[in-house]
Amino acid sequence: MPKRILVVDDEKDMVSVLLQRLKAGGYEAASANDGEEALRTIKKERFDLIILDIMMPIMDGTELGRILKNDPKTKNIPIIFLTALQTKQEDTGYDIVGPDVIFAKPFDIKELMGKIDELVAK
Amino acid sequence: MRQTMTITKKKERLKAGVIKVLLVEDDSADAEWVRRAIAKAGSGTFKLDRVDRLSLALERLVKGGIDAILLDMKLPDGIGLEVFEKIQRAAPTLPIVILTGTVLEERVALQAIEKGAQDYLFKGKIDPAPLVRAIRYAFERKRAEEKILQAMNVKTEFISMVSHELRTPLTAIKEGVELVQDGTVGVLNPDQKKYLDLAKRNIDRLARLINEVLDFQKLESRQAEIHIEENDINGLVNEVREAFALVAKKKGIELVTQLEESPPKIFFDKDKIIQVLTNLVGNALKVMEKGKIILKTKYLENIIRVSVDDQGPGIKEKDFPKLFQVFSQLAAGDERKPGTTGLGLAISKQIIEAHQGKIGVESVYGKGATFYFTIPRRLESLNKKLGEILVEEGLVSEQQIKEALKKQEGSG
Repeated sequence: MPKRILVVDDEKDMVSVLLQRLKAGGYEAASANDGEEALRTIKKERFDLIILDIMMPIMDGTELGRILKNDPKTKNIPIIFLTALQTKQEDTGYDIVGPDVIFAKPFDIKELMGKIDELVAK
Repeated sequence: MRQTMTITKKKERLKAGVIKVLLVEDDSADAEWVRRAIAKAGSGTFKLDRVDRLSLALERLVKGGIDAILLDMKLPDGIGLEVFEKIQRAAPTLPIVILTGTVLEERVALQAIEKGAQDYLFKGKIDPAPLVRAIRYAFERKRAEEKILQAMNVKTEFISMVSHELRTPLTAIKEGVELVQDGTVGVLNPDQKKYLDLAKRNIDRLARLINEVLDFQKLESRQAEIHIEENDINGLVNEVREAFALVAKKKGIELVTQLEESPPKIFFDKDKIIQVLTNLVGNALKVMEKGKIILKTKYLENIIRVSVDDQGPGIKEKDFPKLFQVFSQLAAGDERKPGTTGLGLAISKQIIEAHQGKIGVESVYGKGATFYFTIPRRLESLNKKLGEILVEEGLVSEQQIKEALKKQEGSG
């Protein structure tokens, strides 16, 4: 069964290239436009990893990250944060523990894919 | 909201030409002398408010409505520089003029000046007119300083915002181009590949430029974090040499080292010094077609000197200072090549100066150049924002930094 990844970003072009890249990498990928939509999708479906943009309308990435980490059902899903700011760990609002990581835009796609492979292989 | 109101009130008061002075003085006779001097020479311009304790002064400042402070640094509940620092922290935007009684106190007053006090006056030894003028000047000077700081903050914030806004679309462009370029969505013919490679190269260049602009802005606004630890300088030089070994070999350039034999370990920020040396070696490679680059370390009386000798075209002496400025372009002929942004040396200069070292160049035009930097030996680790280090070393006042940082909080 292919691993499933959720891309959460309000930048539609960004989502489009990421989905294409993930599919080419053998993953099953879905997307959500903002934090709230992502939360609804995560409740309905199973995901092995979430790629989460920090700056989004309605509910931003750090808030969603906090909600996911406080819910026993979702707290073990690894998160990769994407940010155009120079976000640091403490800015995400919770202690990033274990596998969660931050990628600053513009990131190297090979590095990102490598990290995804590493995180979902576990 | 409250702040807006106070500012509006302040503006009205200043329009009416009234400067409200808080006199912090426990000695009644001295206070009376100031009161009389102001009544004589400055009535109509100044309104005086007096407190006789540090604690009361701090309370009074919280309420607002003060435009300038006259401060005696010998109070029943506080003495010396500490008094000044507490007042300054409570009112970083207000001009402070120190009142001093003795020559001994003058030394402390001078220290306060270094930390941002506007002026100091000897009590009882000054006529009313100069006193009033001193307050007036202090007030005007402080206001001018505030305006400059504000303008700097606006600029910093703007650069930071623009850089961030550029990153998002650039990332989508980059990932989109890469998808096509590396054949993920179909096979390319050689011409298509050639022009996509070209596009990709320039996207990377633009990304690097944006990062350097942010880097520079962080260093300039003293937001950058510096982690100074005990490190081995020769190890660092070898690391950089190895990183460039392959590129140099491909170009047919020899990359060699001449290292000080077992120099003492010194304290510096390893990542940042690597950034500097990488920049210098990268530049040397860019200007050379063939020949030799020599990386040297030398230990001289508590200073480490690191240098990079190249055999490129060299630099005219009149261009030396320009090299370390932002986006400086030398005369035609010194064509800029992809990968250079014009910020590398300016960033390097800031990093070296943050270590209290020097960076420079020696060159005879036509005969190559030597870029060097020095790091003075210090004895302890530091793990702080650049601004905090500068304050501790007494190079800038805490007030300057605080003001510069205030507007930046939350801007990323």
